[in-house]
Amino acid sequence: MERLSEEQMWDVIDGLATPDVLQKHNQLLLVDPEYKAEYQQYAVLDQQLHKLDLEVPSMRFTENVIDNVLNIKKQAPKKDWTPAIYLSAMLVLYALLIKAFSAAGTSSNTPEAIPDNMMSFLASPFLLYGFIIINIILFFILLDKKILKPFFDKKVK
Amino acid sequence: MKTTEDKDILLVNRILRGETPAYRELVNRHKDYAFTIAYRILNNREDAEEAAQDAFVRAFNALPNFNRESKFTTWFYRIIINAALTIQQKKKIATENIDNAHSEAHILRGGDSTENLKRKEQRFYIHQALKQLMPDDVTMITLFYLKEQSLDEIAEIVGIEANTVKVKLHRARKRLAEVMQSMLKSETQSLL
Repeated sequence: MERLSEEQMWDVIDGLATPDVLQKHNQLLLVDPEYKAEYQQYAVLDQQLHKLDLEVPSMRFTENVIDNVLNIKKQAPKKDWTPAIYLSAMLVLYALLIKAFSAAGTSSNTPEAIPDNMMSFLASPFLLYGFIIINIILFFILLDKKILKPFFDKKVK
Repeated sequence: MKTTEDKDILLVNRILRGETPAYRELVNRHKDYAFTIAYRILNNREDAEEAAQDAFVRAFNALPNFNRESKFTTWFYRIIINAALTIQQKKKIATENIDNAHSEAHILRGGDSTENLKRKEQRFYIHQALKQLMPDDVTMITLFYLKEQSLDEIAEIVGIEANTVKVKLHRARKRLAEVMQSMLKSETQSLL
């Protein structure tokens, strides 16, 4: 009688064998001692694998995970508005410059006149004060964010 | 009565509402299985602990992306397997020498009842044989036997077809049987 393949034997053990295979298997158990021995070897291995114990991690396992999770939550970067503020300030400045140049351009039709207007605009106190105010604001934002806030946060802890 | 899966989903919902302590409960529910899977792949307790912890942290961060229609364990076991394989790739752990297994087996024999001893030895040899297998084989066997995952569930965890899982599981068990046979053969020879 033709033997079952190893895969079919495992199907019998796993309860996945078709009725035909199961019938053949039962017949083989009765007439083929070698087949029976091989099948029993696999069946014992299967039983032993079912009895495998779970490994237990250290007592601190859960605490370590929770500590890690809380640390990550703390370290999660809050939205940093500094680049956005800086970019919008620069954008406003850029828009003002364009407006000033276009105003200068319309006041005189000759192309040679533009450099003079540009020079007078660049030398104007308006531009200078604008730059100074923006830089002071940025300075205070950075001072607060990078030095004062971390300092007081530490003190509170 | 709530099933295990329902309870997992309830916990996930609480965590997503901002109740971080609920994660402690979720970790306690799955830490043994997570650690066992990692340990079977890595064969080292420290590395397995690192992998399992890493998997739990990764899972916490990825929880908003978890599809609550599916089983938490199916999703989570995939994270553990990936975490363990990442650590294994990093450390390139060498498999333990079979000779060590024999000397450890001799130590096991110190004063115990025959039945207990037999059971202990059988378990010991299975553990040693599992250590000789490839991570892929160990993963199949561990998922199939440890929590009795179905072939379809294993397929979802490892991202392959259920039929391929069946073939891989068959090959893994065949290799395990071969390793155990060769271990027991050399053990018998060493006793003679």
